[in-house]
Amino acid sequence: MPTICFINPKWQICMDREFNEFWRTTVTPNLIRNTYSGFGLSILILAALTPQEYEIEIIDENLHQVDFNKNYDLVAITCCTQQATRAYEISKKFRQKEIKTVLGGIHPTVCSDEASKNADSVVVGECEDLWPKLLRDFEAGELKKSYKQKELYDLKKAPLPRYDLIEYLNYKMFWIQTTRGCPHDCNFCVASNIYGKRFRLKAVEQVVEEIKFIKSVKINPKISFADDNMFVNKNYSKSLLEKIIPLNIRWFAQTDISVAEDRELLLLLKKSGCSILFIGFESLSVDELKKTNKDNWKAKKVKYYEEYIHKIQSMGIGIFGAFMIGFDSDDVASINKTCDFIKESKIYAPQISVLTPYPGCALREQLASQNRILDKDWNYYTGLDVTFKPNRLSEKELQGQLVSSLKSIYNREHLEKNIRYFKDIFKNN
Amino acid sequence: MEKVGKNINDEEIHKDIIKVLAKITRIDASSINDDVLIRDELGIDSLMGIEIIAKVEKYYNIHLEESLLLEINRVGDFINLVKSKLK
Repeated sequence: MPTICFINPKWQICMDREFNEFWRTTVTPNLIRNTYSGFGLSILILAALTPQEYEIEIIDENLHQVDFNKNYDLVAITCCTQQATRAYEISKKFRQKEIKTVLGGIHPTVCSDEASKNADSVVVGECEDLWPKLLRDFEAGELKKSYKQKELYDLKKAPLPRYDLIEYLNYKMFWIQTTRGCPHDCNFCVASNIYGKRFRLKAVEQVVEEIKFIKSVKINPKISFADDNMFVNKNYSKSLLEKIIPLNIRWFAQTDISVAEDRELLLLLKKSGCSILFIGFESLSVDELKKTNKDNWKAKKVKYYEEYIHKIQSMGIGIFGAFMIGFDSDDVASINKTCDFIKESKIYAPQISVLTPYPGCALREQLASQNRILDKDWNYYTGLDVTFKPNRLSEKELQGQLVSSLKSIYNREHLEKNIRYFKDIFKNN
Repeated sequence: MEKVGKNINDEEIHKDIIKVLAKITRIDASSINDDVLIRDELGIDSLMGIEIIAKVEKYYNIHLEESLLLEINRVGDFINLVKSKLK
């Protein structure tokens, strides 16, 4: 029986020593640590598309070491940018043993030429149509250097991910994807580039089946919806949420602030078990937000941020609010203003990261044209390390501002205020 | 939290708190007992923790320190904490 080993390479939260020291000792809510602890979906989808005659081994290098002495028939490695260097090392070690390797995921999709130099084959784009073809070629001894998805995949054909294969790994969260695509096309994000601006949906019944499958393999699972922006299609969202209600789960999703504009949607979110919503606020500067997406979507919403945060959180739904620092107008005063806003608006779980020019996004092209991309290894593309020359601050100052701003929002006094705020909400709900 | 009537009787407190935990975590009450781990088995995160404290505080008209909840690992320990506040 041929064996395929699927590997998720090790990644680090941040390369900066001061940040890591802070993170290790902070009173950060466990939510921040645990939310993204689930296992990425790509390997579980590939496993579902792999014929039964293959034996499958899954290694999450964040939990277990790769055994390079094992003789797999094929090694498939998925990676995002910050994992790329490690993915290439793993691939190299197996290739030295004449074991064929395949790279896929976001980074090999946006840097396919680079990935191609580091593996026998590269999957470029969505994997569902390509993987069965790749396996047939592999069996015939005709593995091609690259497999490229030319059109957007029809999610209604998507297989049931093999959640049963990771049940034993005891992740805090199980990821489910209901949609792909994001219409906002922000310049710092690769989602619209990879998945398209057109919003594609799974059938409501598919999503329900996935939740039921997770519940059948794991007692009391917590579900995280992996969609980059889950509630763009409000009618679909409402139909889905109605069907989720009887499943009796608590769940987390990523969306945009516009959910606050729809009272019916908010009520359904609460009723269906939504616990936390991740929302990207990015900046408080209208001018900077205007630069992030062409239709000025976020710039138009910024004046409603405080009101909408309150509308969502007063339902008993916590906001995991994401802000970035390092925009061209950012200086110490604007970063302090962001921290003050976070505290005053009582965002349940604030996240501040550093603007990062990921490969594949428009921001990288813009900064590269200005010769502002720093010569740093992909390991530094954590979203918490500075990888470009900031405008009003030095690289070191911006890195320092990240830690000092996080210290100002993750202190006990502020957390206790937030707890009292949410206690009142829950007592009155 | 459903209003189930205030009882200071130990058995009723036990039953009521399990009912609160089941409602908030959306886990069947029959699978929650004193030995169940609050965070690892019930998956209670900090927001759910605040919700549980708020409902129990309101119901019994008591005050629970949030920091105490962080130190508690098992359902039985939480129930004992509430009982001690009611004495």
